Amino acid sequence: MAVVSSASGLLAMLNEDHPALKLHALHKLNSLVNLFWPEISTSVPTIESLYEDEEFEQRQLAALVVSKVFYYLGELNDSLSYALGAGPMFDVSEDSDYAHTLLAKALDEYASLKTKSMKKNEENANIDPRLEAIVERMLDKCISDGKYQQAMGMAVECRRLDKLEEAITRSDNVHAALSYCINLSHSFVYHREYRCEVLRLIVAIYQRLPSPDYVNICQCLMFLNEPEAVANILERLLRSSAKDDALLAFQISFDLVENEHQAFLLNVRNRLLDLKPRATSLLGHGSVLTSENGDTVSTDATAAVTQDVHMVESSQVPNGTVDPNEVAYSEKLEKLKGILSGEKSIQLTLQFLYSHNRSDLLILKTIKQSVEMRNSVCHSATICANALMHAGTTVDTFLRENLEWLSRATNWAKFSATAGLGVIHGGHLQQGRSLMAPYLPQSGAVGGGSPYSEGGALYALGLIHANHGEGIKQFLRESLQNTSSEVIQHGACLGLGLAALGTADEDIYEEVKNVLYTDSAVAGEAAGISMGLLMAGTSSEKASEMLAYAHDTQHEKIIRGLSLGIALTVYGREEEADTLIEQLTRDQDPILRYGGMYALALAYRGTANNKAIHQLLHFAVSDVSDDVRRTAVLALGFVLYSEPEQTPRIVSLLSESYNPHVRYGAALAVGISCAGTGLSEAVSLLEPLTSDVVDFVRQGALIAMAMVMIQTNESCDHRVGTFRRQLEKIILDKHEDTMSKMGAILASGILDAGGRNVTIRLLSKSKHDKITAVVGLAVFSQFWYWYPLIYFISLSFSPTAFIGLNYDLKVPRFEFISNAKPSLFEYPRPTTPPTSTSAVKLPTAVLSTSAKAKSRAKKEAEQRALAEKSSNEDASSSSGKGPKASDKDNDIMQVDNAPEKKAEAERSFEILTNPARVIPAQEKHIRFLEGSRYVPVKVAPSGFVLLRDLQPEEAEVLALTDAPSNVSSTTSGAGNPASQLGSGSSAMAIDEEPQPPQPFEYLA
Amino acid sequence: MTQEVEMKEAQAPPSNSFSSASTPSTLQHLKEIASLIETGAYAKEVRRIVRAVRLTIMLRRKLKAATALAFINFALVQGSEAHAKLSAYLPKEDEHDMDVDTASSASQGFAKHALPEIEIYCYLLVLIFLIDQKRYDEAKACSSASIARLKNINRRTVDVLASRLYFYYSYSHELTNSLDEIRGNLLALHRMATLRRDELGQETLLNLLLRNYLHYNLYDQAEKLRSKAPRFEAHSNQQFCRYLFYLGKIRTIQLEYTDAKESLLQAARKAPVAARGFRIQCNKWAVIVRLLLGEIPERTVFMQKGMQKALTPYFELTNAVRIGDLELFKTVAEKFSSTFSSDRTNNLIVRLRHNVIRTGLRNISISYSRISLSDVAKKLRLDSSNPVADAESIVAKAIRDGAIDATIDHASRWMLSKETGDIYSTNEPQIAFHSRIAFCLNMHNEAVKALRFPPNSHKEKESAEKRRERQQQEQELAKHIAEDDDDDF
Repeated sequence: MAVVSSASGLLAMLNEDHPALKLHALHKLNSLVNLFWPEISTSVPTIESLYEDEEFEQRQLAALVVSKVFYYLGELNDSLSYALGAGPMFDVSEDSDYAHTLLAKALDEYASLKTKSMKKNEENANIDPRLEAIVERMLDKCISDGKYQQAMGMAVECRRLDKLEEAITRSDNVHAALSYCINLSHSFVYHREYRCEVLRLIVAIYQRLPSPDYVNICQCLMFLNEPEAVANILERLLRSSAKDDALLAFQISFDLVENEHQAFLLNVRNRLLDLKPRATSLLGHGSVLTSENGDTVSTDATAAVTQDVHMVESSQVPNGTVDPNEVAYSEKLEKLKGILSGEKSIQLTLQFLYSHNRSDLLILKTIKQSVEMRNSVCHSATICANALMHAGTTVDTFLRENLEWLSRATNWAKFSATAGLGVIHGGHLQQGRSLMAPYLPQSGAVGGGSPYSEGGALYALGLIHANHGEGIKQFLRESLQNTSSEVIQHGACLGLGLAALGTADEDIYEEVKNVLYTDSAVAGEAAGISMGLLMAGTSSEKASEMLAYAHDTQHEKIIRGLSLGIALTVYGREEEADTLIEQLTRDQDPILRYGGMYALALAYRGTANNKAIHQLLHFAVSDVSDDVRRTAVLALGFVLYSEPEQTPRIVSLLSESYNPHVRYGAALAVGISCAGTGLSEAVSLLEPLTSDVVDFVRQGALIAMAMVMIQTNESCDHRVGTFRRQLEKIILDKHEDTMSKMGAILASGILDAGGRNVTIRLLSKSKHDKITAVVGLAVFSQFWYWYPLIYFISLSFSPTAFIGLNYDLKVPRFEFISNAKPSLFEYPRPTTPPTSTSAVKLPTAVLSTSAKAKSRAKKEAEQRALAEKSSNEDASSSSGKGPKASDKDNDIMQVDNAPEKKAEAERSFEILTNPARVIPAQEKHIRFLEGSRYVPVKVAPSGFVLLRDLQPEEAEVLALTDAPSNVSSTTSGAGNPASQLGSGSSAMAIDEEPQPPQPFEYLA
Repeated sequence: MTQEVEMKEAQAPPSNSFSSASTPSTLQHLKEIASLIETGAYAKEVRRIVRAVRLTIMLRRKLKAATALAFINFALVQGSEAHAKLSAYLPKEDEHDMDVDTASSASQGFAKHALPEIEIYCYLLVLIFLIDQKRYDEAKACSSASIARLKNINRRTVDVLASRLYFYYSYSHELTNSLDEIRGNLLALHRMATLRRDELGQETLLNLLLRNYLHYNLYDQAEKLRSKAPRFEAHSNQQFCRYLFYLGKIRTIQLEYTDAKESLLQAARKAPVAARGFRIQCNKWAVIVRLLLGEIPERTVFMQKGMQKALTPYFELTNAVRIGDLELFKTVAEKFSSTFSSDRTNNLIVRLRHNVIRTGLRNISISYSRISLSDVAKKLRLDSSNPVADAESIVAKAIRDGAIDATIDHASRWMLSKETGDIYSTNEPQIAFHSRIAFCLNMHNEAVKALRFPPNSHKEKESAEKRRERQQQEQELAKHIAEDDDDDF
């Protein structure tokens, strides 16, 4: 017989008494198990008993046979436990399906055991040492075979930090390994504490390297919230005499600022100052600090506080110097402080947004004309759209031109209109207060203005100083104390919350709490939100206090404000927030459950955590309250924004729900998570919703669509054009519902936000969450209940710019390439009037020329403004000549570029000049020119990048001079403090003037 | 390409001159199929590949060596291992130089497909061709080579092609009567399919294994494998039919007649109309199982279209059992013994003898209220040494089994039948009625469960092109269902 057809003989042999027979049978079975496992499986108990028989010699062989049989039966758990029993008989390196499968199983098992024991905080609780041995053997093998990435992945999964360290240090490219590991920790480690551990390890390894990558270290440290270490690194870099180190330090600070972690940045800054005592200028700084306090307390004047500080500091620092090294150090420190406080980046952003503003006033005009006079909702929506379109550009031409129309806003509309100014001037830290001065409550004089505009102005101040409220906090606090009008309290609370976002300032908290305890609905709502903003991300016990009050009060508004506030406190805390979330989601009050949804959204923001998604989906379909369901779906957007591709798939079913609230939530979820991506699936999902039967669903879908399509132009996705036309149609349609009309107006505002130079971005370039942006969007989504909260969306706008800076933190002339067709990323073409009136048989030529004339007039006016300004500059600084000329050239070039481009065949690349607009989709096409004068310290396609000057002796040509503020300070070159003092005052002089110079208007 | 093929044909007149008109179109079809597979592989759409396989089966009758060779030259990279292997199986039509010419010129125009799907498809095509040409030994070698190649490919889009290959692999070995050689291989493949969660492959391989075991009458092992192997929702109707058939056979042998009957009837019912041979087999077994259960199959069973002739022996057998005539039974069994042994139902027919006796006994008990045991023996034509004692024991057993309602008077040596009551006064009709209703409801439920809905059909906004493609596919599928000539049972 060639082939044995049955194993029954061998199985019978197992029942023999003689061990030799049994042994022979086992050996045979072991080799034949792949053929006869169905038969052997019936006798498994016999073989098992052999394994358990202590006297039997070859117990391990029996275990191996049993393990194999179980493997064939698909019982991998049993198979694994017997394979472990087989000890050395189980050959790990064997190249068979059996060995491979069991090894994979062993790894899985080990990883899940480790995770479980970690959760229960037991060290190595009952993990089979044999299992551990196998896993370790595997890891070692991976490392010795040079498969470092696999080893790292497994080590992270199995929570074996020791092995992880080994894998990283032994890999051939430690830097690559480390960055891989950082990626790993962000995208695959769901447990926050463990991620911290991994990051700590990474930092430790980094620091042991001969040339540590400080940029990455500091990012990790920021996540770990260790300001001390960051301060130390920065200090060391500053102390070094090399210029490059200082550049690196500046770069690090810019990167840190981008993550918008105010409390952390303040901490770093203070610690840097604490490190100072070694320096001789201790005395000077001590007085600076005290004088700062003194100043701010007594301040009532129009001059911004920070500027005072600047002046004091700059005048004092040089006095205290002895050592040239110290001079250099303190000078660098000064710059660093400027960066860390965010002022520098805000200032540069402001200049960029102002100079590159390409907003299309014609759109607004169309909206304004088509909106009915008496429809206050659309009226204020238009004001709001204007604010968003010009967010951060400081261009308020539209408002100034339409003052009478504007004055139709009354009561709360007035509040919003005033607050809108804050959005337009967002980031205008220096002049913010003077700009708002006419609207602000006058101390002492009661009833100077309407409480609505006063409240709005305070809110506007908050928006201007959002997340950088050092200078304005005090003023807002006083305003809050000095008023008893609930409208002003409302504005002041929101303003304070914004300005002191995430700082957990006890004093402010107490004051806001007092407002809350007055139990006034309007003020209480804002107070609730404000408390949340203050405590954002701190997970403090204040949450329970707020929860208790939410249970006490009768006002729905207050409960709603508080529940959002509570949600804000647990921002980013992941598992830590679970108890609170549980409390909220189990509550009887739907408003608190609704807060629970927000808590889930914010605690697990951007983690794509399965548990959170599961919970949210559960509430989205099972809660009895429509509000909760809507919010649950909406919250999915927050949880998933790090993986925008997933969202359309997950909510696609919900977007077809019979319940309009759920559909609305689905639309916004897609809008939030896919914001600024222009993702095709997202657009396809939203498209049908924009023509939904229910008006508010249309509203949500339009807004969401605008969020998705922001900065996408027609040549990228033809649907953008369709969408713009749809918006226009809705706005012009007399019979359209107010709700969707409002949505369309807001959508056009968002679509062209910030002069078409900003996008909505919830993740910084280093993949950290931008707390301000996320919080901003979360509060924004509350506009369902309270329209003024729409302005919170401006917090999530981030400029899409490449801004290169030299050692003096000035913007030098620098060119680089975008390796793509210019038309793909250019600004959308400005609308022309004929499109709206083409149906009428009017000689279009007249209209177009008039339009052209108009636009020419506008350009001229602008240029004249420029000329005006530059002549001013000439007066103040002699060195302004060069840059001004070049800049004017630039502008002219831009003007005639448009027709030229159409004529010739489109080029496949485009040369961009620093500072340039680089939209997210464009980033991958950015290349730096070889052999140019400047080399970036960190190769980043957008954001703030420090440039190393290769020809330091030559004179630098600077760009970006046509900024609304501090113009001459950037042009006046040399960074010596004395001239800064002078320039500061001159800048103030310039900015005292109104932005659009009136005298030239009628000449056009 | 077409020109070259024609040229080649012109020089090879005897074999395929008569089909020169159809050849180019066949090659064209094959190319279309290849592109179908390609798009399916890239888009990871298994349904396209299923369609490709279906189209191939339709083409197989037209397939010629030259066409196959031309296609292989088209689809595979010249000089690759697979190409070398496969072209060796195809006759070179005596003029090697011409062949080389076509091959080299052919290879220029085509993109170099490196897709494993295409390669596997070529194996499948050549294998089918070889089997159709009855060149079984070559088919065996070819299939073994293809299986060796398959083991190294782990792609879900290959699964459909792979399952077909498994089938022909086993089929070619069966034709050369060497099934036992590949049992180990099949087990390994089954294991692999399980690990890769290739459910279609698992299904196919499990059936092939069962067939393999049953071929050697290893019913016990077959049952053990069947019960241990993972079960899941069936993917392919054909495979499920086969599975039910094998299951029925195993259960019959293991004396679980009721279950066996259910499986066999279901298999016969589920099998496509075109698979006549398979349905005849199912019916044969089902008839025997029903006889063993003591039921008499209706006459219509034997009168089914296209089956009368094949089922004649079983019809006569049924008749013998129905009458309870042992003599007739014997003659029928002898008369058709060759048929029965080729059907491998001989051992079951031996089991039937007992049933014949019992039926006879029942007839007697209905006819006579009291009859002596010797008469019983005579009527049953028991020709043993002690017929009366035999009859006594048979009657006793029948009474105990509940086949007849009677008592034995041992002293007077006669059998007393009890009065047969009015069956309509009992629950019997109700029970029968209930079982029929349950059967209908069950059937309805299964039909509902078998309905398939295309995913996302309600919202998929299809373009005009896509709609046309889908409609074409649907028509094809409808046609295919009507013809149903997919499987060679």
